[in-house]
This record gives sequence, C-alpha cells and structure tokens, in this order.
Amino acid sequence: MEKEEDIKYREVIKEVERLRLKSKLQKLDKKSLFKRNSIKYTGAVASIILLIGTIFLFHVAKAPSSEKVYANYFKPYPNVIEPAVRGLDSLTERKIVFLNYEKGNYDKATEGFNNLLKLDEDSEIRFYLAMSLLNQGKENEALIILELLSKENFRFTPQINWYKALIYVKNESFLKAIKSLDELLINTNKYKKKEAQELKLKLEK
Amino acid sequence: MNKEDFELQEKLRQDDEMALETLYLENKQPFLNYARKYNLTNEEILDIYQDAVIALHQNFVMKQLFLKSSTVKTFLFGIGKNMIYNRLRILKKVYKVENKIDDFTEIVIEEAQLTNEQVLLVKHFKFLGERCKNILRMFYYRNLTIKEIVELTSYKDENTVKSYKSRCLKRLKELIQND
Repeated sequence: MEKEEDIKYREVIKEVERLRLKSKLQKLDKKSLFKRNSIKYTGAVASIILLIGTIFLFHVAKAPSSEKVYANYFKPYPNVIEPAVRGLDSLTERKIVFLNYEKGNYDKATEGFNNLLKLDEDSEIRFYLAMSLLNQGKENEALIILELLSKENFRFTPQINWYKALIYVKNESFLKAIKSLDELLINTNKYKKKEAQELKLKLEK
Repeated sequence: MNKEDFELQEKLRQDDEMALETLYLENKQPFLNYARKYNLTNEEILDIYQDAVIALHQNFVMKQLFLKSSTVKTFLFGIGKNMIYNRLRILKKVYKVENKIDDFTEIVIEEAQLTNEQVLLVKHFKFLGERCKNILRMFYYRNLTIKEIVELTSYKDENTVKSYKSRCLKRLKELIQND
C-alpha cells in the first residue's frame, strides 16, 4: 500500500502537471488560430481578410487592454487592522509590519507578514500578505494565496473575490473573473458592488 | 478497438505530449459542436474541454489506463459531459438543462482537494532544479519504479536515485518552510 507521504506528493505533482498542461493547451489554441488564419485563406479572399482584419484591429484598438482595465480598477487595500495611532503605546511587531504596509514598504511588509504567519496562522494576516505581493506586481503569487483563502468565509471574503477578479482580468482568464465577480456580488452588501457590476458588464460584452 | 486507437492509447500511457496535442486539436471542434446544446459560452466550453483533455491524459499516464470497450474519443467526451454538468450546477444553470440523451455516458474523474501544505508545495515546485523536477515527475507522475528511472537516466544505480529523490523532497520542504 502506498505511503501517505507518497500520496501527498503524487497529488502535488499531479496539480503541477495539470497547471503546466493547461497553459500548454491554451498556447496551442492561440498558435493553431494563428496558423489557420495565415495559411488557409489566400488569393481572391485576401482582400476580404484585409477588410475583416481592419475591422478587427479597429475593435481591438478601441477595446481597453486587460492590463489597462486592471490598472483602472486596482487600488491598494487599506490597512484596517492596525491603523497607525501615534504615541499611544509602544510599537508591537505586528504594528510595525502594518505600518510598513501603510507606508508602501511592501517588500518589508511581505517579510513581516511571513514572520507573523510563522508564529500563528491567521487568515487576515495572510490576506495582507497577498495584498503586499499584489502591490509588488507579484499577481500570481498573490493569486495562489487568495485562492487558498477563498475556501474560507471570513470578513475579507468580498475583498478576496474582488482582487481575484482583477488578477484574472490581467491574466485574461475572463471566465474566472466573471465567476469571482458573481461570488462577490452574492456576498457583498456594499464593498465594490458598483464597480463589480460595471466590470462584469464590460467582460460580458 | 481499432489499431489506431490502440496505438493512441499506448502513446498516451507513455506520456507522449505530441499525441496529446494531436488528440486535443482533432477533437476540439467536434467537442465544441457537441457542447453547444448546453447553456454555456464558447469560452466556458473551451475551458471545460481543456480540463477534460488534461484529466484524460493524467488518467492514462498516472493510472496506465487501458480502454477495452470504448474509444479514447468516447472516454474524452464522457469526461467532458460530466464536467459540463458540474459547471452548470456551479453556475446554477442546471434547471435549464433538459434531459439530453446522447451517445456519451458521463464519466466521473475523482479530484483530490489539496491541503494548504500541498498548495504551498505546488507553488514552490517551480523553484526546484530541473533534475529534481524530472526525478519527482518520473516517480510520482509517471509512476516509474526506481529501477525504471535508472534505466531511463544516467544515474549510477538505484541507491543514487533513491537518495537524490529524498534530497529533492527535503529541498522542497525547506522551500515551503522559508515561504
């Protein structure tokens, strides 16, 4: 019988391979589309292609890029856990970490949040770790944490869905983005409700 | 089972990714046509199709699947059909689905839910060296024995493979501890 440890690693490598194959098939789709477009149509239809191409380019030029959409909607999430209050008491390690986050010292904040998590697992701290990574442009690392946190239901669940949706948009995984926005709209009373509805409409167009 | 299908299955069991790509491209349009009757967008269907192809491939590689009474295509469409229904249930569109009777029987593929530790291991796997990745992949993904790995690689003997594999796992554990 297979050891528990081996089962654990087998599942890990299966997931690593699944992610690799998914990306490979997505690239294959793009490649085959390009091939089909460049080989299949020649001669008399070239002018039609040119016309279609022009219309297509016109639309592409009009449509905002995923990066731009992301940049338009992305705002760093504020520190709502340990707001900086001067002179009340001495700074605890936790307060220093949040102060770094607030000041935009995201690399130091990342290190600090990691240290806090070594002492005690805390979903809210992990959420801020993801936010620190996100603010450093490490979207995919942040996404892994946000996906992990999605399995729980806590006070930052709407925020998690919002930032996940933005990362998916940037990665051009529009279907997943819509799904995250749907989850946000189910769970939120107020947080980003308007923006989520607006972004969803744009994605569904 | 025809000869072509028999050969395709053999290639898939051997983790032949060229065969996987051919299978993917050949069945893509038929699957998109088949799935059109469900209340899903083209993007959703394509996403499901990719997942179905990967699940099929992983079954051939990891479980050394051998189909006796069905073809690869029928098996693939069966997995895809099950994934379509799962997606419809998630999107709460299932009530719109009429009883669709067709040639394909739903095939359920068991997927393990990863623990937090496993998610971290997945995340850090990319930081391992190529040799480590290969050895772990051969052992855990392709299910090769230590003896088979020695035969396929330039490692001196089984003990070398065993100790190298342990070092790679140790390295991976260290990576997640430093996270």
